[in-house]
Order: sequence, then C-alpha cells, then structure tokens
Amino acid sequence: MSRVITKYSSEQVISLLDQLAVKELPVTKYKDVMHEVGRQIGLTMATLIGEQSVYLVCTTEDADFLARGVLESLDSGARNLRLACYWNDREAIFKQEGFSLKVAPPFRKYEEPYNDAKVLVILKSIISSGCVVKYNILSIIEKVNPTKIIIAAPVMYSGADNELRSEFQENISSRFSFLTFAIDDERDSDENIFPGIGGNVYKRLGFTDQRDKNKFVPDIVRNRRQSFA
Amino acid sequence: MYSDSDIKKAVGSTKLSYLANKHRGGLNNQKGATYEVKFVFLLIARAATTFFANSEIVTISVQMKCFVDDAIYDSGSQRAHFQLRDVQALTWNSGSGQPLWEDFKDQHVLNQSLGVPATKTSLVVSTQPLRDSLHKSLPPAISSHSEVILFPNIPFEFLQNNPEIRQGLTELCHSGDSDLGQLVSTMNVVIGHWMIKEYSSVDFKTMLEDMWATNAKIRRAPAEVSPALALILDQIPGFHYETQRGYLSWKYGTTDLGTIPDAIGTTNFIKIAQLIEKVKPVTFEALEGMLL
Repeated sequence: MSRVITKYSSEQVISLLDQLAVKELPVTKYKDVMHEVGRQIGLTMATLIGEQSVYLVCTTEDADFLARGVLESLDSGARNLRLACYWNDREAIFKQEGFSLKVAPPFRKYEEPYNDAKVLVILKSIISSGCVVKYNILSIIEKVNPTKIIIAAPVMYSGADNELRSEFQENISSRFSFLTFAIDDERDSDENIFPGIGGNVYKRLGFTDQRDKNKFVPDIVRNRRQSFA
Repeated sequence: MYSDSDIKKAVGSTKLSYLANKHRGGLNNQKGATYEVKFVFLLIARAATTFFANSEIVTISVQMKCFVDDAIYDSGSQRAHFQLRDVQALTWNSGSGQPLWEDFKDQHVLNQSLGVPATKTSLVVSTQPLRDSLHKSLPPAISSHSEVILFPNIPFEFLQNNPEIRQGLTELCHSGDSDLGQLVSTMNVVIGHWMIKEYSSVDFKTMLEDMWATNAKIRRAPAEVSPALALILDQIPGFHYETQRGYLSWKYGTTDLGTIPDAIGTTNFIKIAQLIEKVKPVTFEALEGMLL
C-alpha cells in the first residue's frame, strides 16, 4: 500500500486527508473535514482557472460538504458559478449471470441553467473505477461546451485517470485535467480504496447505503433552487 | 428458418453440402465476434425504432443455415440479409467453396423459392475505401437486390454516436427525457442481454419482454398510476409527470427532473406510491425525498 502525494497538496491538506482516513472520526466531524478539503480543492482550482466561469457537477452525497467547500472558494465576484447535483443509481448489471457490468446513470438531476462556462468541473469525493464520473460527464457534456474539463477528487485510485480517458473520444478526453491531492494504489473487491477517504463514503457521511443516500436532498440544492424559481 | 429440403429444392444438393460447411465455419468464428455483436446492436436499434413508431415486430437472426448468414433482419414484408467482413481487402470473387457474389445470388434464389416477399442482401464492411471498391465492382447478377454498407468497427463505448443507434437507444430508454448517460446505460443493458441470452433468432417484442422479466431499466408499455397518487401529484405546484414508458418521469420548475428507477407496478414502486399516499405532500419540497 502506498500513497503518492500530488503537487497540489500541502501540509494542511495532508493533515486533512489523514483525518478522513481515521475510521473512528465521527460523522459530523467527517463532514466538516470533507467541507474543508473541498475549500482546499476550490483554492487550488482558482489558481488554475483564473476568473473563468464554472459549471460544477457533483453527486448528492458530496453536495453539502465537498462541493459546498469548492463553491465557497471559487465564489469570487467576477466568476459565474453554476451547480448541478446528480443522484446516481450505480449498479452492477448481469452479476447473477456471471459477469458484472457497471452502470451509474443519474436517475435524478438538479441542474442550474447553463452558463456558457469555459470550465466544467466534475467533482467526486473519491475516484476508484471512475464509473460515476464517466456517467456524470456523459450526462452533462452535450449541454455545455467547456474548453476545460477538470475532474477533481481529494483522492484517486492509481490509473483511474487513464481509464477514464479511454472511455471518451479524443475530442472530449483531450480537455480533461485531473486535480487530486493523493493517489492510492490499494483497493478491495468493493472498490474501496486504502487509505482513501477512510472507506465507504456513504457510510462515513452517515447513510446506510446507496438507496438511503439517494433519498437525501442536500441543503445546497434546496437553497440554490430558490434563486432559479 | 431454412430446412435442408428447402435448400436442396431451391439450389440443389451440392450447394446444400457447401452450406453445411459454411454454417459450421460461421458458428466457430462467431465466438468473440465483436464486430458482429456491434452490427446486431444496430439492427436491434433499428427494430426498436420501428416497433415504437408503428408496432411493427421485426425478427433478428444470426448464423442461420443459409448463404448470406451473419445477420438477418426480417420485417415480414422484407428479409434483409447481411454478410459482415471486418477486413482490409476483399473482392466479390473471394470465398472458400464459392465466390461471395454467388452466395448473394443463391440467397435470392432460395428466398424466392420459399415465397419471401422481398429480399435484400448486403455486404457490410468497416472501411470506406473497401466499401467504395466493392460498390463499384458490384456484379450485375446481384445488383438488383444487393448493396455494400459501411459500418465502421468503432469501440463499444462510442457506438451511441451512430445516429441510427442513438435513435434506437432514445426509443429504448426508460426515460423520455434521456441524456447521453442514460443512453449509454441502456446500450450496456441491451448488448449485455443479447450476449447473455445467446439468441440465434428472436423477435423484438420477445426480446423486450425477456428484458422486462429481468427488471432491466428499459422502456415498457405505458402505465397509469393509481387515482389516489395522481390526485396528490397533480396538486403539487410546478410538478409535472408522465408515465408513457412505464416509469414515472417527472420535472419540477426549470432545475429538477428525474425518473423513479422502479417501473410502475413493481413492488418498490408500490412502496413509494403508498408512502406518498400516506404522507400526502402538498409541495415539491415535501415530496422530493420520496421520489425513490
């Protein structure tokens, strides 16, 4: 098991990642740390994209913590920021027949009006197989026309970037860039990465399982929706 | 589809033994023939578009014992045969046993003898130069019922970029408001199903019913929700829903949309409906956490 710290990381970020990896960290504290990690991702992103407008896509479980942190750091006066939140239905189809094909299309979407953003951000608390990230890119890519697609996660599995690139045609994958603080190379059969972000993110955030997290409506969605009513 | 006696009667016993060898070879080569699977998926997409547009049921067959045998698309009024060649070089005189063009001619003769209303035979190749050269050299003896089609051997991941496949996927998707993610998911479901079932010949409706039996997220027949549920949903301001594909797809305002992942009438859907009927939400905010 080894962890590679990327150039975007710092002492503060390493400390935050170490806290996430502690299994005993209570849910409320875990959420706070994830929020702060999001702020750090946003600060790094801001240095990479300048004042360009951003369309950020996150998952429902990440919205109130990781994504809120990113948005707070990016929310400068000149930058136009829009958010989409997806509820992904991740399943392994044909498992009973002996092979497992993973699909994860969003079955529910909150999408703020498209803002001609030059930067599309696909945010996820961890990227293991990249299946959810793939489906989230597919679900938005025909509605926006970004020059840059930043795939951001605090921790990624080694090689996930190349795997994701291979899923898309050159005209899309050539716009990819990856922003992560750490790359881990160990994972179990359920695709949990070690040390990763301390195991299954649904459980660390207090959800029992996927169905439970998919019933959750993030506060950030409830609050921002009112501006577009 | 073609019995030995039919074949013998139409084209003679020598051709029947040639066909037996060709059929054996075809079955051996079928394993791992991804180009064939991709092309069959195009036919499935075409069948889906036809079925949902005018209820016409098409039968798709592969590796039948006949002369142009890789895939057959039978609409009842026309039987279209496809020979697939994912190669760099080919001529109409290629072939072991007899030239390719003669297979096309014999197929037409065989179908005529069986009273097939109309026959079309197509050679499917994966490169434009080969398509053009075969088109130019199409033998006059088969030109009235034959053509050469280009079907590039693109990776599975990008099949949805084929406009005809995309149209079929849009029809097959369980949500009427599908995005590319849903289309790709639907494609995986259908291709996976085709490969697992190892159909040699199936009509589209049967295939669809087989997929429903596995709870695959695929378009179903239009369905209605209970009057009690409809009454609640209809009164929520800004909330709109439809059930044309057997699933409840909804929209709220300009920002929110979705499809309940369980088909109307399934156990999970009934549980969701019962919860909504019990809680009786009057706003979207009160409803939204129950839409799963």
